Amino acid sequence: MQIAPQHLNNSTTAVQRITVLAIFATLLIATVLPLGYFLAVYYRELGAMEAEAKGDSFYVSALASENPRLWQYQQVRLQDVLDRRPHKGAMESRTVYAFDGKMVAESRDNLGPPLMRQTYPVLDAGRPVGTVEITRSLRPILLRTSFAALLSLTLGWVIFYLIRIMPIRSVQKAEAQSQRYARELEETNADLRAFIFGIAHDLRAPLVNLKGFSGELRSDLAGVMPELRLGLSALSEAERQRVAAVLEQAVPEALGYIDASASKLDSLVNAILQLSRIDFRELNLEEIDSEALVRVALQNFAGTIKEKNIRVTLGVLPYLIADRLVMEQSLTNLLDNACKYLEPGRAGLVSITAEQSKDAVIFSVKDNGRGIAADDIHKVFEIFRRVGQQDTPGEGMGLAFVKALVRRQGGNIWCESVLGEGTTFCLSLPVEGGRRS
Amino acid sequence: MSKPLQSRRPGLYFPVLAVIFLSLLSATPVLANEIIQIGGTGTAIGVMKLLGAAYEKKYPAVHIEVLPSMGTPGGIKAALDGAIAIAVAGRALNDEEIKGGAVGVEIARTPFVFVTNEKNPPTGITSAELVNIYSQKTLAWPGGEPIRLVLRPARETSSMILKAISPEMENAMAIAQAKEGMILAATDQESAEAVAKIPGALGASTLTQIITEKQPLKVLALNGSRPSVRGLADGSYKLYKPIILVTTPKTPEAARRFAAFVLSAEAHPILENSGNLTGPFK
Amino acid sequence: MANLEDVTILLVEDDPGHAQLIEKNLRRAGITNTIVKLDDGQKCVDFLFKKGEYSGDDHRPPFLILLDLNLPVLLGYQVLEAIKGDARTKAIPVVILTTTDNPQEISRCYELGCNAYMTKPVDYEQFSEAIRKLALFLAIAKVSEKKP
Repeated sequence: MQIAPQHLNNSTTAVQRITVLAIFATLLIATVLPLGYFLAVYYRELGAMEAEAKGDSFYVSALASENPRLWQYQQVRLQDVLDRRPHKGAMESRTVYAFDGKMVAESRDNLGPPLMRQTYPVLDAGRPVGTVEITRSLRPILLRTSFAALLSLTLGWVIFYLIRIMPIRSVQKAEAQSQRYARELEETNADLRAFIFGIAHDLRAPLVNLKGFSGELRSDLAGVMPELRLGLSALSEAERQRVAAVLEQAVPEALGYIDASASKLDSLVNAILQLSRIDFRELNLEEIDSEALVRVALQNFAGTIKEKNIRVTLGVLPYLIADRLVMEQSLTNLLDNACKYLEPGRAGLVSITAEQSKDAVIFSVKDNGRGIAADDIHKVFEIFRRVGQQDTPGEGMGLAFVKALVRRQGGNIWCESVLGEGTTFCLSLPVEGGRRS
Repeated sequence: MSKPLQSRRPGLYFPVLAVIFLSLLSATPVLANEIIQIGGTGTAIGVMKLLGAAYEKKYPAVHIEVLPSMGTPGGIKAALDGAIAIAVAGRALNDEEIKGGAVGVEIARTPFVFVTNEKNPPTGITSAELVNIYSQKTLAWPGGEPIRLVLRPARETSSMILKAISPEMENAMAIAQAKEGMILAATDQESAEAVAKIPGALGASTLTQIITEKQPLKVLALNGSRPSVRGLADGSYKLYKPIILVTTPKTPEAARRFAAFVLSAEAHPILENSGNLTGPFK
Repeated sequence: MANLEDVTILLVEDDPGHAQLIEKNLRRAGITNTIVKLDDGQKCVDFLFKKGEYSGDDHRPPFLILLDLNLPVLLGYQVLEAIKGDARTKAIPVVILTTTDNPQEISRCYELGCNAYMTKPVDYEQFSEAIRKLALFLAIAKVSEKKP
């Protein structure tokens, strides 16, 4: 019987959700980080520039206040202020403009676009008479931002890997491994079953001999009894008694036991073979009207039902896809048990109902028979076990057989019982016909 | 920022009062005082004031106002814009200024001198020493007093003259300009003040400024020769700063007349007495 | 019609116990023919085709072959294949007498051409009954006159 686990492939909902989450996280990191970096650096730079512009403007404002009409012509001083800009690091240009926008003085470097500029007014007693402007190139910042973007992208990829690829890969690996285990298990099981089947099969040959020759002995002995009896008459009374005891009692008795044991052995072997054969049979899944099937099965017990005055009720029994033989044999078996193990003195009541869940149909066969003791319930499905009073004939193999059958189709069977009140057997079969071999 | 030194002009009060009095006396409407503003290099402020005073004596209706130092480039720009009447430059005009319509005439040359504090012992200096001092190799006077260089802005005419002395001087100047925390004087007047005040100071100035402003500075001999107008004339002292009168298309007529006066032989004595060598120049 | 008493029955059975039981029951049922007992598949083939240890033998082919499937050296169905595959032996009726009742085995034997398939019942009564019926069947069976 093979197990087909659900592959954690790329189409599972869980995987899709994780993928979306991972992509989202990656994009977030890849865009937010560089953006944040850019904004932080940009505004810091602007702030620094503003401070510088402000500083210079104070000086120029003082010049303007001193020399309101002619401050623009204080070339040397103005130039000096502007030239005192820091020359290490970022290239920049500083310019002083008069109120009409005419350039008064400037100290400039060659700046590549795009540019960022910050201005601060030149104030003469609070009135704006010009502006100090500082310009820097945005390029270094952009360059650094692109590096940051590259790093973030890498980080994003790492995150993506950690969230999406690594866990799922390890899960897939684990699954592959568990599949391997499952396969190995199946193979081992198959080997075991073949082994058991083989042995059970081979046990038959010696059994033939056991029974055969014990039969031969019996018939041979019977054949020579007349002659023996004649011979016995020649013996003394005591000797005759002894020989007679052996010939007429001990030997037949021994042969009887040998025979009985060989028969028992044979039935066990048959049971094993029958159980083993279940796995070799192909499942024949078809749509089955379970109500019709149950009614037909009940007809087999029509005699017993009438005789013991058992009332049988049926609930709504659905259509489902299953193997006909599995259903027939298991339900027949359950009905057989329900009808057999009644409580004497109580009118038998057997109800057969079905419940449908998302994946399975659960049949319940409930009786009000003698029930099963709590200690014994776990033995119910054991092979060759019979539980409770052994006053009714039965092999005790039926329920183990049913369990194997039902399992074959991917279902399950269990039982609940209260001693003295009744038993309910539940049989679940997968809706879709279950696992295929 | 320190205010430039204002030279006293007592002589102007009387002509002005006289003019007003006379204009009040005469019934004729008085011409408003024509004010001619002159600005530019601080070097020439002193001599310009003298020249202005002399001109005013001749033509009382005109008032020559010599503005505080605005530097050569500022002065020329102001003159080009018409904000002032005439500019005085301490260097030759550049192409842009000429293209703008500025016309410069060299009216005098004044020796460019190295000065130090009156209290400072040394009396002379050599070119080699200057290079060492400006390049920060020599940091103290022979007496042990630290040399405190008073620098000027890099583009200022004095700095340019220093750089032009020799390639070594140019390098040395670059080093001095780059060093942090050096004393920087924006104008000629501030520079003179600084050198006068600060112990161990060394700076550059011009003879005409020292004379006209009566600066308490010690003029150093350069390579053994004492700076003087005669020295300039006979070539024994080579360093000089030119004084160039700059007129522009916007220069008013009255200002041109003053310019003509400055260029005339009448102005020569005033110039020469103020530490300037007059032309014609080769 | 040839004399029924002259023909032999070939019993190919490796378990001596089974062989003994079969023979006893055949005799009890009235079969008096010679029963040739062989205990492995190779010997059976050699006997039939007069090869190996039987080369040079001059015996008539058996009138019936009772063949067990669990044989050493050469398996029962291989023997069956050999018998039914050769023109010389094809006509000989073969009754498979074996312990297995696997339907697939049964089908295979019939496909290979066996004439009848009997399962050895463990129950001795049934076993004896089965052999007796076989004997009865043999009593009415006709022997092919055709010489190989």
